[in-house]
Amino acid sequence: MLALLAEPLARGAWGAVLGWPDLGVEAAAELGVPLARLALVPDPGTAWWEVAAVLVDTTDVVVLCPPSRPAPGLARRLASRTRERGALLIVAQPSRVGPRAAVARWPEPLDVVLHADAVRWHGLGSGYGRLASRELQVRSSGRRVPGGGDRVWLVLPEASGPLAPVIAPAAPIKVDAPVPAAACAVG
Amino acid sequence: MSTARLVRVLVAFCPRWPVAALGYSDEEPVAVIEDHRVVAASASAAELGVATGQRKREAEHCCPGLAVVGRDRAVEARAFEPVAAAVATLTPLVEVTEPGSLALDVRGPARYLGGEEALCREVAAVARSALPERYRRALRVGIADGRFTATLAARHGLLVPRGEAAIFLAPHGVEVLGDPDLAGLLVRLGLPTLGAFAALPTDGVARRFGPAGELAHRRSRGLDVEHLDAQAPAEELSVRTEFDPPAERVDVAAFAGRSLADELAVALGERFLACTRLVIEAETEHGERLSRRWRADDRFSIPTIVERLRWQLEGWLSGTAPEPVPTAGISWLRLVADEVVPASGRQLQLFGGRSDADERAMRGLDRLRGMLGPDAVFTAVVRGGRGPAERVVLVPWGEPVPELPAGPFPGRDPAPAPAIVYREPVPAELVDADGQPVRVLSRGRISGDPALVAIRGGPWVGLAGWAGPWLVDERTWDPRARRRRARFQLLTADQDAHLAYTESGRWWIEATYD
Repeated sequence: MLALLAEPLARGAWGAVLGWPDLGVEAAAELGVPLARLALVPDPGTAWWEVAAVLVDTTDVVVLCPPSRPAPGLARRLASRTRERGALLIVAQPSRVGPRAAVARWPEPLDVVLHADAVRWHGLGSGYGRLASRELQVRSSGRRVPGGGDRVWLVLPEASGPLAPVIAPAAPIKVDAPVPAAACAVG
Repeated sequence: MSTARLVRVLVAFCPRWPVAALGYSDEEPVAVIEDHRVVAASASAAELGVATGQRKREAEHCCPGLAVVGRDRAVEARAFEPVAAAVATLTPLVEVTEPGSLALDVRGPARYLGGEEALCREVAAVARSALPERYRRALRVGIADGRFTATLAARHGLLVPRGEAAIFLAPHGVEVLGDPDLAGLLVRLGLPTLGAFAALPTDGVARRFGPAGELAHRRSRGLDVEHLDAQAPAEELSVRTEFDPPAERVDVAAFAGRSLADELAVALGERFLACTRLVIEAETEHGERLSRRWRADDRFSIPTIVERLRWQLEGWLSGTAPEPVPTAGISWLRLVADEVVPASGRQLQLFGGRSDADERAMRGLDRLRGMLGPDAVFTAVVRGGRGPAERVVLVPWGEPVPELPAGPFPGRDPAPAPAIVYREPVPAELVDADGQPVRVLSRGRISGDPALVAIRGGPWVGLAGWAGPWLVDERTWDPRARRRRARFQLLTADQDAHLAYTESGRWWIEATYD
């Protein structure tokens, strides 16, 4: 999912990550995200939607890990504000272990949902090698995705170029759990 | 914030320079306009109420018979170059801020000229000698702590003693800060003077007015911030271009200067630096060396470098001064980044000019900083380090990026980096096929191959793969702070990939490759 940030930011857009205190910033940098244009608001407080509103008004791609489940009306307003501005709101659910494992659900139907159905890592043996790349089967669904959605196999990080054919701009995207944070746009 | 590094600065200032450079005397009612607004007026026009910032029509209304002329910065630069050249005979450290104003670091020259007062007199004398006779008396010279205060002191022709900047500044109106939006706001809040603004507590100012307000607040207190992290670059940062045949015309040389400015910007950007002082150097076909320093308002961007370069070439190639005019075309041109500051995320953006997206995002982030406080909005920098958490530094929005240690870092975990790095490592248990806890023995041997992992007291999960250990032994000289860790990559049968470490017999999940 961090890969979704790389291309627009490399072209001069600004990005923000909201409510993801344990984001591996280095992974984002490795995927080509220019950190100078990536704002981080790890602990936005209880009124996080106000922060999210400012971010969709002023930056171009906002990755949101909702610290709490928003009221449906709030979620709708945030989505329409995003569409008006032509920004991209990504509701992320990183697959953590540990205390913050529970992730707040998004109450509204989303335009595009990317769901990683299967993951297969390569490069690591029993006592040798290292995690090198992974194959992912990503399924897209959601309001703006016609039919049942396609399944696509992606390989990361050896991506040959941007894919993202299913992503309509100006649409909030939900990246569903369990989601490889680095996955859903490249292949 | 220490005041120890505040530099004593001399500023020599030509009032109404846009008018004077065009050759008008103060007796003639003249206003110079740019973008339909008055930027300077002659003394006689000013007496009748013509003021900078007025619209052309308002100015004409104040002063019937007013001559209104367009601004010509090339002429201003050309006419000022002899003044800069004359002062440079006293000290080579002369910096031009814009045509009509120059500054110099007082320390050296004050010593060999016998004190600050003597230096003021000397600078005024040589600068006046380079000015047309009817204008000579208008020139002003001042000395104070730091550039901002010295610029104001020069307007009054004053020498403000060390440590008295705040007292001198206090009665000035907030409009001298040069930020009309902020000044308007302060006046509405009942803080019309620098003294009133300076009396506000610092942390409250940062919260309420953002980084720009914070900077203005420091200036109001007589603390000149520009110098604090500025320094000469560790290695020479310069770019150079040759002219064959030698360039005799400004436009020819300036055209080449554009790509030169781009090159310098790239060199600075690669080192995460921004330039605050620039030296423009040239040599003529006859071997005459020309050199002039330019000081940025804030930090040089490509367009402002190109502009300074053009002004300087105007001064050299179209000059009218009797002696330092080059006698031949320019055979090479060189730009040196003479003083640099670390480029924080935002300053990096300033370099190469800001786009609309940059402006909008910066305003938004300034606003969030105002809403949430100074420690809520960050940009990140990746530096060297052995563990994933050590390699990332979060920099509060609006603050400069710190110095980063260089590598190599033996024993670091292998790339790619994990996408989730837990703030607090998550406790785990790791056992071998016999159910015995896995321990790391001497020289990186392990007691048994890892087979099952349980994270935070959860169920046992089989491992599909593992690798390690990557050993880290830090601060070996300090028995209490010494840290010996062995890192492993673990891949569960469900294809969850984690970075784990063991220390003092316990296991922790440090990060997840999500």
